[in-house]
Amino acid sequence: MAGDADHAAAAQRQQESIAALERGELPLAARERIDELRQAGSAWTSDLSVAELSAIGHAGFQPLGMVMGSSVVRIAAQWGYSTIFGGSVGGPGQTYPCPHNFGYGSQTEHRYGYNWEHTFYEAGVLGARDAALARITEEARDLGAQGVVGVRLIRRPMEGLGNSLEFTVIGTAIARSGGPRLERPFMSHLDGVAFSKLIHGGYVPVALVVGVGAVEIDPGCGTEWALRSWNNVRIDQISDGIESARLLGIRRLEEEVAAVDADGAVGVDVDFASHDVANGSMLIEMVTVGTAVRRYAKDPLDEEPMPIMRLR
Amino acid sequence: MAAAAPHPRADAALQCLATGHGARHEGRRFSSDLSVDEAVLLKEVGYEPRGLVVGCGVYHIGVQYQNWSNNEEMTSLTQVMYAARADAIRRMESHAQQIGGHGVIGLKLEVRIHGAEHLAEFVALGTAVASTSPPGRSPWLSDLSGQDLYLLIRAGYTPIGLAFGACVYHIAHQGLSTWVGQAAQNVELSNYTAALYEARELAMTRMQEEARGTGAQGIVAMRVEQQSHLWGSHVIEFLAIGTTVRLTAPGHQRIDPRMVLPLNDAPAGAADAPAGQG
Repeated sequence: MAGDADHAAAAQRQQESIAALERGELPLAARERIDELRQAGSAWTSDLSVAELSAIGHAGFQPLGMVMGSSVVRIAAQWGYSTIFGGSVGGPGQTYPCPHNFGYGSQTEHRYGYNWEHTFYEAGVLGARDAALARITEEARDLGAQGVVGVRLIRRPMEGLGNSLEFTVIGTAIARSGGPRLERPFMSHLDGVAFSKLIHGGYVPVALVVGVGAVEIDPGCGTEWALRSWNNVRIDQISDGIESARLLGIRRLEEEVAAVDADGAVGVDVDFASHDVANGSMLIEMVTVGTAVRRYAKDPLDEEPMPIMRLR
Repeated sequence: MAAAAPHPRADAALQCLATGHGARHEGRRFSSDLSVDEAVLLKEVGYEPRGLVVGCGVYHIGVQYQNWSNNEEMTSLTQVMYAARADAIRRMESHAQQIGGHGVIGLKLEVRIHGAEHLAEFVALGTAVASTSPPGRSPWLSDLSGQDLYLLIRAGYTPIGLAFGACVYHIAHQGLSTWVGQAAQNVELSNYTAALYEARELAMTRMQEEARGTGAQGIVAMRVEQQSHLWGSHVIEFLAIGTTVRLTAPGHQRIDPRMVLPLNDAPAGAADAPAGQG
């Protein structure tokens, strides 16, 4: 029957898409859409506003089509080990001994405190990011694009799937006709107008860079005593944990800037969150996202910026 | 594809992307929360970004006994709110020095409350910038944007630092008999007015004292923030904060702005917006 045949064909396509993803290729639907966009006479697609369209034209570029990359990963559980292994699991840890010089036990009133880096979590986020960026890069390269502007980044847990994360990037591929063919087209989370200002200001975008710092704070008895205090006191263990997560988020981003041989990152969005986890512990998460840029010209703007006073 | 119209900047940019060669930065590879507009304008006044810098501290904010019917400053809370911010800024400043910054712009000073545990996190976050000509003095801090810094420098001023003053104040509850006696009239609640005055003046005076002795000639973009954080409605913190500046040019440099009259409809509420909202 026709219905069964259609069903079988759809299942077959799905299997082929999964196999393609596992080989590091694009799923069938994406591959077909890109191939169709490349055909002569097909219209380009974009989510650029009219202002952005004219701005990228002013910078010497034109749109080629929407491109996307997506990946869903499960993040391995890492919690629960901290009280057993102390700071030895995960990244560099900090230890806060019992200030009263009593024992180590996790169940007693006196215990050590630990701050430790959630390396599994960080690696999970970056793994999803790598896969999504590899896919959008492949789409853009196949279209003959030199870059993608206005990349929107979607990072969220998948509904009903514990410890999982979806990472999706979507933007408009652009090209300069007659320009060089690039193995790795640039990615930028800046919109078309900002892209044009960047080019006229002497910078060129290189890549989307992400820094993740995740630190778990398992409070020791000294910290818990301070939390019950009637005085205004600085809580050293929590301060240290939050500061190290924030600094990690910044340092990792700067390492990515170096890895893509860029000079710096602009427009960095800072996303900071703290979650309560079991037994009074906190998971601190700092995610930074920016566009890495290289400076190609030192000379100033073509015109000095003109101050204006609006009469309306 | 037919070759596009000549565009030297676009071609140079793509050349740099393909080969990695160009007028590259010599300093450290930076991160920054500057917008493109800010990054471009900073370059025009001889600064380049060095990196995002951060300092923070988490405090347990204890309880201070307050007399229900008195207007009074809660001095121990004032002290901790001031000292915690100063400490976060100090940490951020030392981060900026480590990475060779000569100044910090776009400084954001936030208090994040974790209510249940009476925990308050004080964060200072900004972008460290370095002068492309050798700097003459100690690093400066400012909560101004890159656009404001550009205008400030073109007008002949230089930023010196951040000045701020805090005051946490308890506003008295009114007695029942007073409330009953006044319920049918419009009256000024003079104890509230007086309390708000007292607290705001204390915060502003402290800010002025901080600016004195730094060589500042003025404070720009000053504001007074009013927040109850985790204390409920009768305890309010006033924070007066601004960037101190000094004239380094022989006099105020005129920038002669061009008057423009946009032909599109004015955005709602834009025309002659009241101060602080425009």
